[in-house]
Amino acid sequence: MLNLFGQIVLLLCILASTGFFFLEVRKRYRLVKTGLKDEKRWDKPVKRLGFVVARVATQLCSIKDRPVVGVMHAFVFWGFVFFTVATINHVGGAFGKGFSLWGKGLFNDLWFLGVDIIAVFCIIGTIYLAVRRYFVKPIAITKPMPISRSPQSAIVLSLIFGLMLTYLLNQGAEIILIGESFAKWMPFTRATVPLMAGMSAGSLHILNSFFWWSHILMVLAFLVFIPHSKHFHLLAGPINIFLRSHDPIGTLKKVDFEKVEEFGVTNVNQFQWKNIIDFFSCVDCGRCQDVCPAFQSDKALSPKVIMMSLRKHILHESDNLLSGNAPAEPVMDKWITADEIWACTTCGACMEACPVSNEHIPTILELRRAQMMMENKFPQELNPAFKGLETNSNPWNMGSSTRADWTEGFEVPIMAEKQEVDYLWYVGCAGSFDDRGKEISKAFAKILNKAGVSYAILGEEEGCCGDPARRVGNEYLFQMNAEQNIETFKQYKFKKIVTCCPHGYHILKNEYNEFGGQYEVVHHSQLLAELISSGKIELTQNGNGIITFHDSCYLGRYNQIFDEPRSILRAATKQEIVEMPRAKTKSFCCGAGGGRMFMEETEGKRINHIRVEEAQKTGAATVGTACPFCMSMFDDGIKEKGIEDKLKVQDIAQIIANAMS
Amino acid sequence: MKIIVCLKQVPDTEANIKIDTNGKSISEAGIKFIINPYSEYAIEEAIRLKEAGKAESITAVSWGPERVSEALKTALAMGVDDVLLLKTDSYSVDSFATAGILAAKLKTMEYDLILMGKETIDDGSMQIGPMLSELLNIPCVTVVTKLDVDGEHVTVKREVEGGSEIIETSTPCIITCQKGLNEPRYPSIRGVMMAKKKQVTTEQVSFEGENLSINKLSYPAARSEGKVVGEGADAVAELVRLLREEAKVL
Ligand code: SF4
Ligand code: SF4
Repeated sequence: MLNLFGQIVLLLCILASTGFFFLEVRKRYRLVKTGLKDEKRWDKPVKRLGFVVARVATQLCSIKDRPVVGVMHAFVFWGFVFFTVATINHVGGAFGKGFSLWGKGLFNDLWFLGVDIIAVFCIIGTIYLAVRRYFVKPIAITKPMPISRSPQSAIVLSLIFGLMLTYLLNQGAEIILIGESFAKWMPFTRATVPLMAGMSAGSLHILNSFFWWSHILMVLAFLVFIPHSKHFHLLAGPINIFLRSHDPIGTLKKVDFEKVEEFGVTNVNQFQWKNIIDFFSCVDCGRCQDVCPAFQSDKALSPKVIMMSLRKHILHESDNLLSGNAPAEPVMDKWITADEIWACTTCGACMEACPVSNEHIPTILELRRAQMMMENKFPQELNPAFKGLETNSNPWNMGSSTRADWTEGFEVPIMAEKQEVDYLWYVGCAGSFDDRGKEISKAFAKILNKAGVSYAILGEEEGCCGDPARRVGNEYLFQMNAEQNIETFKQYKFKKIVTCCPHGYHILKNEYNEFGGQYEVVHHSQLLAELISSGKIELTQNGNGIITFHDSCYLGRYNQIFDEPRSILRAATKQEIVEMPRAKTKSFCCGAGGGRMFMEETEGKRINHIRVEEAQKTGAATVGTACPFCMSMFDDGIKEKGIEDKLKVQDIAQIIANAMS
Repeated sequence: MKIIVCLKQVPDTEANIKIDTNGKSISEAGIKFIINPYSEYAIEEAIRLKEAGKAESITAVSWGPERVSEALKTALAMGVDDVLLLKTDSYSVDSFATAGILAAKLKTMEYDLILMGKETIDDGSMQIGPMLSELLNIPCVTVVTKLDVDGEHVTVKREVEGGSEIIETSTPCIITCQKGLNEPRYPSIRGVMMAKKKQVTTEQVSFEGENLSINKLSYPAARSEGKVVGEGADAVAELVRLLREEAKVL
């Protein structure tokens, strides 16, 4: 217990520290409130809460992608939780001797045991993390410079380490002063006793209060420091996980051209409030960067840097924003560069990996939208694609009347003649115009005909789904494409839409509904799996050798379709698939998404080469794909590397068609 | 300086052209129309002059049916200030009639520079620029790949067979634009939205009639399929023989 003077000093310190803490938290809260509205964040609160518990309490958020680091982080996390409560006891002790929230009894003893153990684990955690950060120096947390250079981690790690140490030493001194009875439940604390053995009672008392005061002052310093640093994720992280979107990864929201006159984000005050919490939640852990195809192929983009730069930017503008003024500078150029935003393939790997559920893609896309629609600044290679989408509804600007030319020599029913079918097959631009895509379409048509499926295509009436336009921020053109298709779909009766292209699949299924298009959409992998399991198609041949499968981002991470393509390939090849190291949710993008298919890739390594190498290392003779864009990226990659004799790429439909005949 | 851009709307290069049942015009059903690519160079050049502070206003003019409003809206979206659509009861491929209609209107307007495509990709007569310059009694330089305007002084580079020439003239004058002059911009969405709200001024004008009309349209002869002569060095002799005897190009 402290004397009156000590108590007053302590109270003043607590007051000051909590005061500073709340001031900074309030500032950030007010900054979040300057964001634009975003409705879909509070629905299903129980489910949301459950997810937070499942992720945060178990520390799965941190463990799932980095097991060892994650466990170490879990030690520190649990240390933090225990010590938050322990601090109440600690402060209580200043006002009443031997104060404890739990009174006396077994629970209290167990509590002290718990804290004792946790403190040691927490020390192990901090040492591990410090060694990793300052000696092992993984790229994830030390690159790119200069944004990754910050004393914050050093400060926090030393504070936590100090907290634990002073706790143990303080308690150790108490053991000597009070006696063995106190030490019963504190095996680790007891270990500090020999360090202080033989000291006089006077020096012990001094030492004891030194440790006591150091401990509490460090706690209070920590409290002041948290909201100023990336360690604000202690607070913002769980909140952010609670608020996460329930839409599939990367789903974009409609721009209402009737209502708004500014499109996308030019200035930082145009973000939605949830985006701002993202910026404040980022821990600089680099998990997103580790899996980002752009960063891994030496492009300018790191999703981590996007989050951190925007945090810096918004804090830099906080005076303006909080006084209701416009930001002094736009986001682009100084804080984020064009090369960064245009390098994104919208693969979603970053969002999948992020422990605090940050949503990078919508943020990058809002920046693209403003560059595209407000500033008219975008990679010039997109010009012909836009013209093509505008006049011929396909990015290659091939005559729209030739859309169904690939069917020549095939029996492919046309919707205009059929009027009503089970499956409206949305072929898509790649399947209609790209040479390799056309091969997929032919194979799929062959299968559908053989299986006697009731289906038809739209032929000349079909238009681009709008994915290439939307992912590069040309929302206006996307809406033109989408509205046109929705009108066309209205003319006919069908039960489901089937498509071979995951981009069309995703956008028709998840993004047309904002424009009045609600459809049951299946990917051809799903239909094929069904046809195989119901015995409608028979697989007799097997000429493919060992097969590996490349998950398309828009099929896998976006829409969680992992098993169907694999079951098909197993059925077709009668053997197990050899998986690449990065498969399913961790699949590595082919490089074509996000409109990258239509842009040049001049910087760094080629993403498709990285993936082709990975596929080749599995020893497979064939890599199966389920997306025409992945297929062309692989095909190009294989040819550019000159390994056509070692590896070939085939769509699952082609593999099935081969196995049928 | 005031600029007038004369432009034409033409069928898309990828459009599947079908001759109408009358045998004299093409069927417009299902055809996508675009701004004549050479007219786009004219629009772009005008906008660049304005952006460089050398022009104060740009008006785009076209003669054609209602559908041409779309092309004019695109011009607005790209950055021209005003557009004017001249309509008549019937339309013609007679270049002189076109030049006459444009000239009649342009005489009532103020301009220092008239920009237009060197030709249109549909009829491709390459005549409107020179004819218009006759009718307006101002100079005209055709097939221009570089344009410099300094006050009234105009310096242009134009393509000639196997080279280029630099020509000087002064405003008012007509410049017809060739590929290479610039890279036309994709209209900004903001521009498109603004253009959507703007009105296309239309004016019914009189059409004196044509001196020239289409008698009959026919499809080009179907191209015969390519022939693979053989592979490697052995095929060379045969290829040369065919080129000499059958194709008669050697
Ligand atoms: S979506 Fe993919 S490419 Fe874009 S930032 Fe995230 S990981 Fe990188
Ligand atoms: S955005 Fe997420 S994954 Fe990336 S560094 Fe920040 S917290 Fe880590």
